[in-house]
Amino acid sequence: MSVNGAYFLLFLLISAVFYYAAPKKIRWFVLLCASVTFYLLNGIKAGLYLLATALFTYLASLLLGKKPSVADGEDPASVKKRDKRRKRAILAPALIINFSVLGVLKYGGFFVTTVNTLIGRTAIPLPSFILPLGISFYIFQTSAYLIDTAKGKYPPEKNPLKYLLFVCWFPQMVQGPINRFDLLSGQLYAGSPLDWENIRTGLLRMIFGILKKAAVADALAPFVADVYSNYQSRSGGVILLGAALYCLQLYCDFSGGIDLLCGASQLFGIKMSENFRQPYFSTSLADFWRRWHISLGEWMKDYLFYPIALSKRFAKITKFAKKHMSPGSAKRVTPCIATFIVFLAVGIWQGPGWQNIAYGIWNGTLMSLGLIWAPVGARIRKRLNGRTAAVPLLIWGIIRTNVIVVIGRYFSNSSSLTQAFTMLGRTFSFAPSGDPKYTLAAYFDTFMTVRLAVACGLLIFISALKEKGIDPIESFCRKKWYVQFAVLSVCLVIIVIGIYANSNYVPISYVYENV
Amino acid sequence: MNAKKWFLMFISALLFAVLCWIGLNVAVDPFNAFGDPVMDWGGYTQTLNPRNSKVTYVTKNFDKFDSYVIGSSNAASYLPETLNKSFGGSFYNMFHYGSDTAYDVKLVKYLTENDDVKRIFLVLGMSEANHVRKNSGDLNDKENYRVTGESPLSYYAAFAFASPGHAFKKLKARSEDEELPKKADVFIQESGCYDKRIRDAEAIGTLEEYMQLHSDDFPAANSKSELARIDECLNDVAEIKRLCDISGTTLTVVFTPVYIEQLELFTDESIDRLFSGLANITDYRNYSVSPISFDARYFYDLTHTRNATADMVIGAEAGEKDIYLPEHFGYEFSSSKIYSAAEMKNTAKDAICSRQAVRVPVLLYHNTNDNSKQSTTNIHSDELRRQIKLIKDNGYQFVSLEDVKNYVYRGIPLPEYPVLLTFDDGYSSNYSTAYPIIKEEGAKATVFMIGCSAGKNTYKDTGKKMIPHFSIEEAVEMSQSGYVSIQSHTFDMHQYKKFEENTPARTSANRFKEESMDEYYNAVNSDIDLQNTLFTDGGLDEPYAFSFPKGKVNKTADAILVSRGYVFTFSTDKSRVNEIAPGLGQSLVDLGRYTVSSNTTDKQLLDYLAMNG
Repeated sequence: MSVNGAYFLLFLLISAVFYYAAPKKIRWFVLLCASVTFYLLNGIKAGLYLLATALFTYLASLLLGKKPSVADGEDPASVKKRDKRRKRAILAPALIINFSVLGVLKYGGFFVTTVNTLIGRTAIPLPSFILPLGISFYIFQTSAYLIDTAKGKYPPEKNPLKYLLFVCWFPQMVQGPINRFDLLSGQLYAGSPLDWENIRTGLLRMIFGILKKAAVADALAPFVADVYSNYQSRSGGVILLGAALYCLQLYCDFSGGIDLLCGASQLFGIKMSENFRQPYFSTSLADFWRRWHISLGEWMKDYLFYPIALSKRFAKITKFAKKHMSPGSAKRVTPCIATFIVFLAVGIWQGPGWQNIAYGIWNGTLMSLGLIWAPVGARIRKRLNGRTAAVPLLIWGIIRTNVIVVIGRYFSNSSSLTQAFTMLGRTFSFAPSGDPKYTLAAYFDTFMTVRLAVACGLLIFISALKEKGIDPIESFCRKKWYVQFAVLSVCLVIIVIGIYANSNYVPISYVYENV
Repeated sequence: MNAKKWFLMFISALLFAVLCWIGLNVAVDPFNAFGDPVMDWGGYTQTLNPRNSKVTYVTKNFDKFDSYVIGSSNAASYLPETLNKSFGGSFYNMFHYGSDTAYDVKLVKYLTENDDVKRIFLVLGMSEANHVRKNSGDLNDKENYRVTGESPLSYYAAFAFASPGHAFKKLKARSEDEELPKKADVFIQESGCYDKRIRDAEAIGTLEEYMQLHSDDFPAANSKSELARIDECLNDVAEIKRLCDISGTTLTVVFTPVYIEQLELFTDESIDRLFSGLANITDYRNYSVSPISFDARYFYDLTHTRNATADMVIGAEAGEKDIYLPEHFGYEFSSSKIYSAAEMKNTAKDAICSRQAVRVPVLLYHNTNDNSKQSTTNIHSDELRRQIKLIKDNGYQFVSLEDVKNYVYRGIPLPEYPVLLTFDDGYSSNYSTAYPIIKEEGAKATVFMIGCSAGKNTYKDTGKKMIPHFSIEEAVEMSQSGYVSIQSHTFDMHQYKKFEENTPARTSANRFKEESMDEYYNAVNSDIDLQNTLFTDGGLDEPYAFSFPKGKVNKTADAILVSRGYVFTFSTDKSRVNEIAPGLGQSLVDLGRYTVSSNTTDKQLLDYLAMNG
């Protein structure tokens, strides 16, 4: 069942009615039934993979969360040490197995193709694995849970069905966010009563998300798809426009989907983690990665960056570095390496393909260089601070960051590394169009251009409000009732007539739905 | 406002949105389910779904119609205009896409039970006995509930909750619509027929040329099969007869003309079974096989006849005397008299072999002024007289436009070697010099005059000198003599750029690049109006022949001219073979002409005549 269709809305309505009608104690069970139904409708085989991961991580977490048995008179320090060793012996293989499932299913084909290319013939037959819905998200989510229970952050969930609900809570399955157990589970199991404010916020957020996807992302998709498929005959300027508009498309697609699904979750009184914070207002690449796909960034920070950066091995590297360079510089060596590794992982996470690895390298390199540049930049800003350079600096930061982001999209949306470099080459060499019949007007007639301009204008306005700390939903709900009715009517007319009732509108699946 | 009240407001807004959706579908009504209340664009709705739209339309207008044509697109060319003239009454053509005699039964039942129907004109073709069009289940195949018996609620709900895409498509088509038929709008709502203004005015020459142009539409049959649903078709016709008998409606059944390759797709045995089976149910005339079945020019493709062809069937049915009818056209079938397909085919083949193509060469002159030098556009009178004598001595006979028209429309034979003599522009010398010669030599001629130049020797209002043109009075004198026909070379679409104040100058009847189709349509129509006024005010009949300025022919102008009643249009294409097919008005469109200049040798002249002989 596609979350873009009317059936999903019907599913939400029925689930919500059952949820609020059920007695408080079993409401979580209603959510579980809804989530399992939702997931199985997307494929029974995928459901089995999910069930296997859930069962495996459930059992592993129980082992990890077990209190150590203390022998009489045993020293607490040695108990701790023994327990730590025991936990490591379970956690490491558990994580390896968990990530291997993702590795094989998602990257198996890529690995085999690469090996075959290196050998020069089809030595290994190309496997065909299904990619269960949301696997890139739930593997990370369950791995975080394993690590947390190993650390003793919270006790493992004893009820296997309750744990399953945490793993397969349906709004998070399509494209995240990657939720944390301590933040999500309480809400899932609480069986919160009907609060009309949740319904209001949820519905408004869903409307916003549906419109972002349909009015902007899906409107831009044909143009962008054409540029990326026919890059060899598109002019350099058109390729640049394609990459830039892809940034807009991806934002509206991904954040639109998140808004729809977070809104859906909110209908049940369940708030999921935020994933976006006006990313195109970022003033540096570091700032961008704190605003874009936040739940992935946070996961990387908590479960990859800090463990690496604070590891004993890296401490040794810092010690070594201090011997050969100034203390200030030496301090930055391990964070740089760790940052690079994190972004390499982010690139690999995007999907199989050398172009995604290149994407990771692009971001990792610039982020690491940014760390090295940071003190220099701070000194410059201090000197300019207080003067009228503040706004120009801001604008410069935003432009610079967006240029870096756009260049990154040459890689992440291409289907091969060669394609990415060809596209970059054509852009920087101002290559002319190789197809005399191609016109921009074919994709952007008057109606489309006006539509996009209005939609983007509203998007920028709402984003600016959020940037200023104003909650647009709250602000909207304080307006006079007839203003709200008018705006709602316009939005719902567009949604009903232009989207749900319109057989000509075929929604494209979310970019991150198949990741 | 608390959140609960907000939710109620949200529900209201949602209901409002749904009402807008329904409202859009009802107001725009692309399928004419609701009577197309706002746009009333039957041409569009019937193109999209003729079955549904036509029933809605006639139901609203039962008081206007008392007779109906029933059939598939085989019946499309049976025009109410012709039927009304021949049979009286007020016809509507209910034809639908794809054959479906079971639907035809339901339709006749509905019509005869709800309207006082004088006559049902049932048109059958091979397809009625061979297949039923599959209903796709889409809204453009959905039939009207009044005919099918579906509950009105489910019918209206299906259209009320249709995808808004259909409504948007209709609105977009409306913004792009033009006067002449476009792909989205091919019907004429008031008659139920196709708008064939363009194809009714397409130039038709020799059969070979036509087959080359339309070879894809007339593929040769490469296998034979049995007709697949003879019994079902016959049962349905019997039921239609029974319904007509009950309601006191006259049933006329015709088997429409069929192109030979369509016939050859089926075995003679199954065709004979169909024809004889039909004869046992009702008397009817069978027009399927006749000499025209071997002449593709009378058809658009294997199964669809031209309007002119159907006009002949109607004329034959009504016993019209003064029209052209092919030989052996319409065999009377009854339970006591049937003909076999083989017999009909052989008779038709024999008739074809003994046919001779009629071709009419056309000569074009301009100025005939003895006081100016001879040139490409000026011939001296003695040369003109000598040429006229030469032509007569070589066995050719001058004919008038009326003579050619009578051959095509009334079948009155032309002489063996006819020739048309024409003069363009309307110069005074034609009156002073050529006209006397034509009278003396007993020839016939047509002069195409430029309306705005009549009686002038200066260019319009500019006072700039030009070759003098004869006046309307002189035109009337020539016309009344019976030797000269006065026709149109446009009123003011042959402008002279150097003298012309308007820019761009309209030097021909072609559309300007920057002119929209509708602007052009209006320009041509107003030129025709001005010419008509000039002629009728002066005492001449309205022109029905047109020669294109500079010989620049265009299809759109032809369509407009023919729809305004013009019968002939002429170019200056000397290589064109003017083969005239009886019964086909299109063979009088874009006739070619040989421009006679001072350099024209006798040999060239006679060669041209021979080419067209």
